Amino acid sequence: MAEIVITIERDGNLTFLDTESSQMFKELGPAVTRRASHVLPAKFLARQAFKLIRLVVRDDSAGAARCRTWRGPWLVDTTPTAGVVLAGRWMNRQDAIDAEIAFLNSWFLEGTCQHTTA
Amino acid sequence: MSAYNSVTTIYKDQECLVEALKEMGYTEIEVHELPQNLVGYHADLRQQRAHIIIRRKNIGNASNDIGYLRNADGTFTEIISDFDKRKHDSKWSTNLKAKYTEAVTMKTARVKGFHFLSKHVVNGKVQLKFSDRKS
Repeated sequence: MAEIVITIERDGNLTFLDTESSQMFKELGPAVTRRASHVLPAKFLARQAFKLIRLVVRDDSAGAARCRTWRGPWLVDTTPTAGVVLAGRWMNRQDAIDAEIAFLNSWFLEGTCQHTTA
Repeated sequence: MSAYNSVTTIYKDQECLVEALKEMGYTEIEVHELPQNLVGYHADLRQQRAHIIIRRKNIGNASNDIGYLRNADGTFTEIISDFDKRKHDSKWSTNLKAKYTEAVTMKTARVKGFHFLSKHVVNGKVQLKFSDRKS
């Protein structure tokens, strides 16, 4: 069961994560899609290798999919939005993604960086 | 990697626009299939026409009608006289838009079959949560 979180900004416009379930809200007006964050290997060398591979393969390729099965720990880098790397490290990539989603939705609403450190 | 969307809401849903206007305090709102002339503060018939109209008697003695004209692409254009923009200023318009956005978001979710979970308001921002049982 997917959760959809929609934030209505003070100016009446909408902000929400780009998911399969949220696509229809893009029809409410002109929409711009931007990168919010990255889930990356926490270890330096693995992170560089991950970035290199992702640089040369498409996001929907088998190579990219294989990268996502790497063992942790993983980190969440929200540089494109909140500008911080979350303090936690996650052995399971899905747990990192869950933390990423929770953080971003909280950040969209409150605009502050709770539970984060650089 | 996550991506996010920023959507600039535009008035397209008549029902939600009327609902938002009601929330702004206007309970008597005319909705017409064909656009009707607006009436000025001298009770004069204006050339401007609109599908959604708030008559001047519901706004103020010296006011003109406020209207929303449905365009060919389904969007609505707001018609507010310069005089009435003193009361219905950008802050008023922003509040209306926020109420419209909430109404149209709820309606969109309902149409899609999403289950409403919660509403949180923080510093003027509103966050609505839904669940999609199909995914």
